Amino acid sequence: MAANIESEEATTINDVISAAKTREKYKPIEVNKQIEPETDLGNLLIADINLFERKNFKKEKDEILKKVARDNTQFLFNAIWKLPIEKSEHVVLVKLPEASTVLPREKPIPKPKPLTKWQEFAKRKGIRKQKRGRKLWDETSQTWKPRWGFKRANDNTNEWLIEVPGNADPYEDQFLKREQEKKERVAKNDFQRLKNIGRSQKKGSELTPTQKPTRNQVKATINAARVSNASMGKFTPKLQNETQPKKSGKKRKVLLAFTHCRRWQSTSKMLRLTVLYRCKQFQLHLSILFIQEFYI
Amino acid sequence: MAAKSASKDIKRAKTHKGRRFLEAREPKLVENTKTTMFIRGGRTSEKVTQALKDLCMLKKPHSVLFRRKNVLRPFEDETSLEFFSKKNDASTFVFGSHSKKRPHNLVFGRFFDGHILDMVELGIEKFASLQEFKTEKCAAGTKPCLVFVGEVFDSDPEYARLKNLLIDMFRGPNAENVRLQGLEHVIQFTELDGKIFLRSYRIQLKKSGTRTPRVELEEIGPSLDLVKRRVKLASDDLWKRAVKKPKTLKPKKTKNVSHDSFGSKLANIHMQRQDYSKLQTRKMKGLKRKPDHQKDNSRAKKQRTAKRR
Repeated sequence: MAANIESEEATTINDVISAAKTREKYKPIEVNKQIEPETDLGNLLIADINLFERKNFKKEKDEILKKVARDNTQFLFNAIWKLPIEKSEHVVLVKLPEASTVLPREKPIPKPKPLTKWQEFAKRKGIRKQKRGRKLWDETSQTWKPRWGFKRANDNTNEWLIEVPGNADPYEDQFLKREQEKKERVAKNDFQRLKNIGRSQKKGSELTPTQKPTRNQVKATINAARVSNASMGKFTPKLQNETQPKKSGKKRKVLLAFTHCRRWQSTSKMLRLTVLYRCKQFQLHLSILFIQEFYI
Repeated sequence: MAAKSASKDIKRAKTHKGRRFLEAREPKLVENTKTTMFIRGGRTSEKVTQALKDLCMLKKPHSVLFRRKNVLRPFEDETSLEFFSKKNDASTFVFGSHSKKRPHNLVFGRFFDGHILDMVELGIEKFASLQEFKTEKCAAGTKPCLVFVGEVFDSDPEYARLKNLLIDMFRGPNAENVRLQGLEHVIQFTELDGKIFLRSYRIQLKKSGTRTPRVELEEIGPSLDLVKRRVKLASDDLWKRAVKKPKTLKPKKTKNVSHDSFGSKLANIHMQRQDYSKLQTRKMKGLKRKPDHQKDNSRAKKQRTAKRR
């Protein structure tokens, strides 16, 4: 038992000695810094704010810089070598943590693609897209054919005879009519497509604060500020040499006067509604009248 | 009307290849590595031209070198720079020029959303090119380690932004996994008495007796001594917009889990009420459950033994 302990001690002592020897043999990897440098391992970055040896800096500039660089790199590597390691096909990979330095983006964050008019409607109504099969049963050839496109099923363009509908003009060319209808449908679809694109391209108000705003930006900001009070700009004092925009929203003074009259207020609800629908025929705006209607 | 004007504005690719090309340039959630343009001014000195070439070499393959003269003044008119940025899909630039007023001039800058974000003008005082160092160079495209030395990079807002700009320009591709043997390049920026020293070194890993190697450096160039001149920084709100992180990329908050200062994970676990009937108590032979037909037998046995007594 005693011999065993002795031998154990001996090995530990030997270890210590051998470790010391290797330390003597190799140069050290420890780096002493007064203030610990900040590292961002994701970017392999180290920022050192310690003062370095400035004696003879003019003469031995490159040597001093190299020494500082070596120490800092060693510090960085000591940190990197502590990270978890992966081995794959004789290559040692180290997994870097996420970069902590805040860097600006190259381009703004992508916005979600705006919905088309139909998509908007479908979303509101909860209509879901149904999957339709690609092929259809063709009655004439008794085979499965594609739903649309070349050699499609139930293709009516290749018909050599069309029955004239009962109430149609007998001298009308039904083939031509069919063709024109098709063209119209295509044109309508194209128009809607372009309208959707136009809607998606519409920009919102450009009132983001900027350091050097352009003339138009200043104008837009002033105009927005003018109407941004309780009276919607009714009592906003006019600035010197200020030109107010010509189009400043619709005014519905006539209608308001109309709804305020005593006779109007004494009429029954039913009658008032009929009058309102008459108003619609004269292309008057209804919404404000409805508000009045509930207000009375 | 709206549809008509819209159809005019929209750029549509005619070919599949063209579409892919345009798609690659669209804003992305996770962005690509920033490309740098190295632009020659109307008049450049030999120092400046060589510096541009060398810096371009360091940045390869994410760099474009302009070989022709471009008469521009970045601090007076940004439009042509912005045009180049759009044309090359590059969001950082180094512009070199030489004049009596500002000899050996380099302008480092970057763009956000196709417009200048910030730029810093640096004058070259001393320059040694890559070729002047007769040593083995690093492989092109290695991700460099970046070292910033000097207190001003933290305290002075202009220097801090310059540091940010230099990191952005030289950090290379965003890598998750790095080959340890592939770390072989260091770029150091040191500030001392108003001068910035740019040095680049090759790393040699030596044995140290431990797992971590001993680092030795060898200068490979280019080396530049720079002086800061004019600076144009982004306004705070523009900067704020530029550094905004997409919501989807932010890590999701996990409920009821926290980490303490030692890095260990703490969590609240919500469990269902324990079923006491299934609780395991001390095992005893007498308490053992047995199938019904055996139960009767055992009772009979016990009675029998009792009678004997």
